Amino acid sequence: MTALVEVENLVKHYPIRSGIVFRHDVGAVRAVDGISFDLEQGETFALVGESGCGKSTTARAVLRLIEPTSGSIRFEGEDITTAGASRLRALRREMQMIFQDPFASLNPRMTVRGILREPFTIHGLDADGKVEALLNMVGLLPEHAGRYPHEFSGGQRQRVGIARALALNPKLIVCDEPVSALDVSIRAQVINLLEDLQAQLKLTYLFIAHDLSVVRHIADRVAVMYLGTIVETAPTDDLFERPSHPYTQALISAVPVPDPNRERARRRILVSGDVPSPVNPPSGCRFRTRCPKFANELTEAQQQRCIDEPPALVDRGEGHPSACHYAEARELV
Amino acid sequence: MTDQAVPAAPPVGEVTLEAGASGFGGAETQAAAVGGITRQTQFGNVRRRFLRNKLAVVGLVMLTIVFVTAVFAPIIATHPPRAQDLNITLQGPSAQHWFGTDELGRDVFSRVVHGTRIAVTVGLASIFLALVIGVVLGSVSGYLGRAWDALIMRIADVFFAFPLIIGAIMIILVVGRGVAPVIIALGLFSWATIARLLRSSILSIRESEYVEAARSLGASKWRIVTRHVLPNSMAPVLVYAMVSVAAAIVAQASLSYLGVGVPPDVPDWGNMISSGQKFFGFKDYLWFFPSMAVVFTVLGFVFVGDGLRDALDPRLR
Amino acid sequence: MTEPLLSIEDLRVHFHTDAGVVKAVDGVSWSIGPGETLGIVGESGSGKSVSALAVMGLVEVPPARYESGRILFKGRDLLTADDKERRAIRGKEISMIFQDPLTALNPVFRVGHQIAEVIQAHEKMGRIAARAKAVDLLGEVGIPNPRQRAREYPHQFSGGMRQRAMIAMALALDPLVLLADEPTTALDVTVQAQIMDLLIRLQADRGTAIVLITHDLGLVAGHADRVLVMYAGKVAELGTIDDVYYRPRHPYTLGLLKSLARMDQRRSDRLQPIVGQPPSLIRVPPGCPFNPRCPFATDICRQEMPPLEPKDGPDHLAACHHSDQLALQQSPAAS
Repeated sequence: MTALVEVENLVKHYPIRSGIVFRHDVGAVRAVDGISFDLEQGETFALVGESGCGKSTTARAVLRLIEPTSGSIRFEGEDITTAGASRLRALRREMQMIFQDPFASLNPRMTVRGILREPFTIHGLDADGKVEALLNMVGLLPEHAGRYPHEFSGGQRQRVGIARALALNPKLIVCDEPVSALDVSIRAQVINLLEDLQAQLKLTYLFIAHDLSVVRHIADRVAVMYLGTIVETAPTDDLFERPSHPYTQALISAVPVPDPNRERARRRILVSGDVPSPVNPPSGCRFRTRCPKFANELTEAQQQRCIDEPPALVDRGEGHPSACHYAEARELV
Repeated sequence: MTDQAVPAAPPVGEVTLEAGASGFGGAETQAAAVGGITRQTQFGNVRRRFLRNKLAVVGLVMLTIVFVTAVFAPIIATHPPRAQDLNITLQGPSAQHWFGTDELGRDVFSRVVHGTRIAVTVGLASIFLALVIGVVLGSVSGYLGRAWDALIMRIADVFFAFPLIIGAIMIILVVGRGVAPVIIALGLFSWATIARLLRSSILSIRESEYVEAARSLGASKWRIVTRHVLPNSMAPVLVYAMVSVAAAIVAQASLSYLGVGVPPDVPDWGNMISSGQKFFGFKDYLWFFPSMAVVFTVLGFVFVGDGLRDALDPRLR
Repeated sequence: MTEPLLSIEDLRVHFHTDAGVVKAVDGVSWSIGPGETLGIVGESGSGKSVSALAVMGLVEVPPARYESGRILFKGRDLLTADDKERRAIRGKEISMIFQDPLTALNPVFRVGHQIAEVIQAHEKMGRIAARAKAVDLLGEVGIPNPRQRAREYPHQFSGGMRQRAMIAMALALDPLVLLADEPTTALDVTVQAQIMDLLIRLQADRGTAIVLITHDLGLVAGHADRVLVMYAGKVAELGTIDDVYYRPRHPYTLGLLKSLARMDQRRSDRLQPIVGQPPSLIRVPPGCPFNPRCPFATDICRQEMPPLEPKDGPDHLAACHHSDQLALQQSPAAS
């Protein structure tokens, strides 16, 4: 296995400007603050976290839909952070995106045929017969081509979105919460389709999600994000069976499972309060302000370390990297 | 307060949302899923909603009458509009002269009919000009943003600050009277609102996921604007333009009334009202019929514009 | 079961729209006793929220029409009661919280003021006393610095805090029944856990009955006593959570449980989806509405709507012609 994508020290800050005549920066929203990860060829790598953790910004920066503030993104060894406009256009064929909201990601005034022909038109390719082949690939019928998006259900629209992403035969597909807007009974259909396509077309997925149940099913490896940084990363079963960062533990313990007996037996690790502002993240460990371990288990001297020293994302003997000075694996599910 | 009891304001939309989520939107959807029992295109939906609005249909009928009159004016008119006959000046309405004659013995009915041509031409042409300017500047401002946006919006502010009539008079004072100067003057002072409307519409559309999807496919800015952004942001602009035509017709008549519009010999409603007012109180038919023509035409455009707005955006009902 | 506090009997709420008649709720019955939690589960467009909205009188008539049914609170029918009586019950005895607290809180009034207003509308209490009670309530729902936060506006609150404020408002008059419509759907999962924890604690303190309306089968498994599964405006299954999750007798329930990805299990080879799409409420298939998607469907399912009948025991109801066949299936929830 070789790395298809290597992300190194990626940073995205949105400046906050003030003043009307003399515009000047008064601070920055630190949406993504120095994260690194690799995507292996053919795997599904999931970025999970709650709203505002920077996972969507990361996804868009990987596709260069957003210009990163610093750091590098290499695609097949080539640094694409510095790629010019024409190189970028060529790269667009290699990496595509599936969006969250199938009601917002399709132009309401274009037919499905128009939507699926567009990738070919943009890149000056022959689209003959391609639309039907794509529809077939995602489980729709050729006669659907003449219809408008509003004539389809959510699940069918998401299939159209998937077909569009597949049109140019990309190697990498970024899936941004691809099933979270779908009805429960439709999700499994779309997840199965994504898995089938991956096997068939040797796709690599960067899977952005907040729903840990879907992630557990679909991902090979997972990285958990909190306030713009990765706090823990591991192969999927490892992460769910032996989470070692207190945030990962809280996240896993908070997800309800559809099994009354298990629910009765589980204990919840509750975190207090809300996510702090990414403009002014806490010093040291960013999670310490809400961390149940910090509040209940650590001595004052230990707490001081959390306040002073940002924990590195390294393996502290738990079998996988975790950004907690006092990482300790726990069994929660 | 009847519902003080309820701790939460009733989310009016919510009811239809839950019931309708798969109800309204899903109606067509389901048909599509089982093989297309009924297919409803977006255009079909808009047309259906428009035609169900009684006032809109009345407006449509009124506009049809206006346009037919404008196109077939020479056939409909009973007399040549400029033919003077000093033997029959200031005669009241009769079988011969339906709307009477003016102080030069010209047939008022025929002049009202021919006035339709000027009104419709000036109204449509000036707003077309305003649309061209407004759409180009609005798109640049909304999509390119930054310095372009700041510059264009400040220029728009300046044009917006002038009352339409005053601005138009200034232009006409510079370039002289005539039909073309009136069109240019009204167009120049009507684009600002169109540009602003389009800009704000574009600002929301450009953040949409389908625009992001187009960007991720590598689409050029030109393609994104013309294929994705403009088609989805034009609806409010077109509705506004429809109502603007009415405003332009009123402005055009006002300019003539003030004596700075089209030349006085041209059969024009504003001119007719202006010269008719001298006989206010005893020859009222002279200003009454052209005034009614203005009201009729303006209401037609307003009714159709309102109907179109409601049909395009059912949430406003 | 003890005497129900609130019960809905054969409720039919139909919306008359341009496209046709939306049968949002079509013959639904449920009831809830003191201190109990009833989960109502369904997908968007299943009509799961409509019966609760009808209880609160939040269904607009027209476009809606009540074709049949009664809404009984302590034996009084809310649909036929006079305005004064209804007002006395809604808001005081029964209150509701929503998915999006921002639409429910008035943006131009301070949070504390809004809560105090609700109290004063129902109880003879001075302004100062009502304000003080509002501050107490905000503290009780876990808002830090309640005295200061009471003077803030809704937009100054985070999503989780707003939901807490709305709960405080809903509980201001100590209602007997709280209708919670997707109360945590807009929230992050750790905040969801906080809010559910709060609801359970308040329920234990006050003995409030909670109707938890959600699409999340996990949430119901963790928090409800009984669950009502809705499909296309009708009740598919009703029973205790153990009955419904471990011994489902309706193919839709079974299908849903089978199709879920589970966080607590190692990756299965493939998910087993329910085929097809949920129906439009305007064109509900004849017979059993689930029949086009049902692996057990036979001719009778296409012709006759199965009645909601007791299966196994008197409290486990399912509307399926073939629920006997389902009894032989192993439930995926059993682990």
